[in-house]
Amino acid sequence: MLKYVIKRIIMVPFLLIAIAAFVFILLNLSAADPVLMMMPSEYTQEDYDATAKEFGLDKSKPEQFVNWVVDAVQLDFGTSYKSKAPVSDEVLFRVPVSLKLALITTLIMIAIGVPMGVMCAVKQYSVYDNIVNVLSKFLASIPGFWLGLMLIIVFSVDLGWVPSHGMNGFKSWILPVFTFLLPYLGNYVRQVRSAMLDCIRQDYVRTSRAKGQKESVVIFHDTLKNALLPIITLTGGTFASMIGGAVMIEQVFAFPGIGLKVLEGINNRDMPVILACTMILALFTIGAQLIIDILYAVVDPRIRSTFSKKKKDNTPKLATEGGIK
Amino acid sequence: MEKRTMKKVLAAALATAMVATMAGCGGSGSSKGSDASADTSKKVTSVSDIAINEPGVDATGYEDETAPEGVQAGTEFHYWSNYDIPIYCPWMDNRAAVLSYQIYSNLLVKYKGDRNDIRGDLAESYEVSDDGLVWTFKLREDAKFSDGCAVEAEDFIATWDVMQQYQPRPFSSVASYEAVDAHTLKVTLSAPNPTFIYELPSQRIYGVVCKDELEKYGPEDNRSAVGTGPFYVEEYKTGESFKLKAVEDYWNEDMQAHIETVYIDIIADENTALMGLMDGSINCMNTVDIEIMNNVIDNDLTLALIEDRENPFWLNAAKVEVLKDPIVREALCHMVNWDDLSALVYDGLYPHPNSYFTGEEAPEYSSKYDYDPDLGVKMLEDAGYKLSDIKFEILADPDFTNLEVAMVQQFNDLGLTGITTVTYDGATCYGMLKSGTYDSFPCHNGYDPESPLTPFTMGLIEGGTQPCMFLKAADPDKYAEAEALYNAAATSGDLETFNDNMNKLENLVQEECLALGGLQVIRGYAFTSDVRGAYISPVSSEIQMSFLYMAE
Repeated sequence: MLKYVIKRIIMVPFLLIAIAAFVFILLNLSAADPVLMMMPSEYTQEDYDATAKEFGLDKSKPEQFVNWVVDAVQLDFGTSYKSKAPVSDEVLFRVPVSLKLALITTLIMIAIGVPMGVMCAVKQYSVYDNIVNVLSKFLASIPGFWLGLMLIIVFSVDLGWVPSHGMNGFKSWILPVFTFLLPYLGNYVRQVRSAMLDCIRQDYVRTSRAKGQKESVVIFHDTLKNALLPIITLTGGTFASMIGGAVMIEQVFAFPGIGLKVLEGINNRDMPVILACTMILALFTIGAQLIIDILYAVVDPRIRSTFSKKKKDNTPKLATEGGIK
Repeated sequence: MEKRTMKKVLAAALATAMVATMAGCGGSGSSKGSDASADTSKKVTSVSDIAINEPGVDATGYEDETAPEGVQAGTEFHYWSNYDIPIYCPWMDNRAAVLSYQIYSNLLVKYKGDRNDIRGDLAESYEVSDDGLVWTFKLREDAKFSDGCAVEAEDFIATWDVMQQYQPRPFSSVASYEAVDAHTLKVTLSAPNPTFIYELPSQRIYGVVCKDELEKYGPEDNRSAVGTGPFYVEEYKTGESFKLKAVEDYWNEDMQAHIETVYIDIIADENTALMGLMDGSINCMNTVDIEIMNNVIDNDLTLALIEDRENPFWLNAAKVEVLKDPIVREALCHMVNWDDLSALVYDGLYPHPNSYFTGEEAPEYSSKYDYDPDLGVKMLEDAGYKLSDIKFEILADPDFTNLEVAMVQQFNDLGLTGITTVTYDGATCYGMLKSGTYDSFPCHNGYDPESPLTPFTMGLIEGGTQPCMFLKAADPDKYAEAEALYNAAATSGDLETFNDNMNKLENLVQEECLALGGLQVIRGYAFTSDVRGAYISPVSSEIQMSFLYMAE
């Protein structure tokens, strides 16, 4: 198990460097000259050269990339072309905002989505199942930015219950979290239902019932436990996509998250900002995947056993396997 | 039976969802926000009902009311900004202007944003030598920075030494500057410049900072941003907001702030800002989006209109060979129906000005810009061009995409199908603008009555922002003529000679049809009903928040 985790962790830096190189190449294919964009309306060639040197843009592209990687390891992501401020100052404080938003949303999604999905599977084709099914499809198809604005109109402008924007206390998180949650929830419930239905039809569930187990044990112990694998995958993937995918929510509710910063960086062709944000998002995505893999191993004994030390096999071997000659 | 019940339940659920959706879409006719209808005579039903606000007049419409004395305890004002300003030293970022206007001050001030009312601010008086070259400013002895330090001439020297490295333009006519004594500052110009007074000494974005802090922390650190304005930054939450506090007993009584706390809230999305205005959490926002302005009116909020710049479509003859021919440029100018474009795209809000250059001194349009598409086509054909020979791409930033598409459609309808448009984000457009790698680009002419040389500084001088205005590629002789007129204007000893040369230069640029004309942008300022005392400069959109106060 430990070997499995270590193996996955060792891959992380290589993955990050590969992603950074990919993004770096893509950004350098852009038509705009970053030095030109930083120059005032009037400048001389000396000014241009000095700015290029100051930002290390006078070096060859491979050199620029290596320098960036070396600095990034020390959490120095360079200086923003646009604001001239250190990118670390502009980006790192945003990480907790996005992380908190994604975490709260994911927890609520699990708390609501799993029971709803389980209920739908248990009461398949019931009125409840059909209502949830229709509602889920409805929620999953709502564009986030539109939903956000509608919720603001109703709950902030008309009713005045919660603030329309900004991060001022508990109330200000309610609308962003629900705007973020609802479209994801619709999809999540349907997936949980589907995973449960896959398991609920298995022989071991039928056997369990036949043996006279209580229905709650059959559902939660025998079925849900086995349905956990796809649910964990879904939850982890959703969480990872939420961290970087909250751009719309952050934009609509004026939350200074990392998604918004990426967008700002892209709009400004601010390469250090884009690179830093991409790396942070990649790190969280890889981290989420790593946790999923570990949870897989915890939940699924088959994966655990693959990486466990092989115990001495005392079972008699068949002649065809070379046991008896 | 069970199936029927199911259908009913599903139908009910869908209906409920739709009703909820409709309720959301329905807007808020009963907005809690403000009401411009407090005075029924001010009730407006469309943006075109509103007259353009005059400089020096309260944009909220309460010019007759008297502002309170001193600071109104407990008052808050929330202003909207759609971008963050990580470093707000005055030389760092032009986007920091909204903050700079409040936390910095300069030698002189355009009182209430009116360029015809320039008064002493940090300077209690100034003298200009007979030849117009030496400007001597006498500083107030009671002026202080927000940290309590006294302002001295050496602070200006330190500030300007840094500023001219970052913002060289306002120093283009400055030969030298020196501190004669602690409270006397002397500026020597390289040539007489009648517009100098509107720029370096009076623009708050070139405000002075404390020399000690600047030397201690350097030019790219907010701890150096200690100004002399009526507000100071009490708190800055990166990516969220600036909290400004009024300076109590401000040294310049004329500019004493009334609002105790001003927040500049950073909200990336204009629609969210509008919602904030509607729920009262934002007190003021500005926009050039006609839809937002219509929403402001529909929700009975106060809307004021301020004249902004024009955006001519500059033609890059250096990039597109066919545009070197003045006949082609003139023919194209005849083919654009600006009134239709304004009506189609912007509900007619943005008028078609009579010149590339706004302001009272701007020249009249010549007949070369009259809308006559048949004449345009005939000119091209007579000159031996096929309509398909005219090929170029109009570069558009997202603010103007609709306009570009509509304009290209007009050309296409006339058979000029080789004219296309492409949209890039603003920063890419700016990069392409500087490098000249575009065919045509709608860019504001940079013209400001307070700095009328600016568009030519950008367009005629090598390395400028708008090489599109270079005549070099089209006609080197005309370029030399334009350069001579620019130099004559820049070194004019008096305003009359200056204006005369400027008019000739503007006429030359227009007669050469270097651009396809453009629409006059109008900027809308929306307020909640409790705001008073909003004085906004045209073009630069400077708002001096020290005059703001809240209705009782």
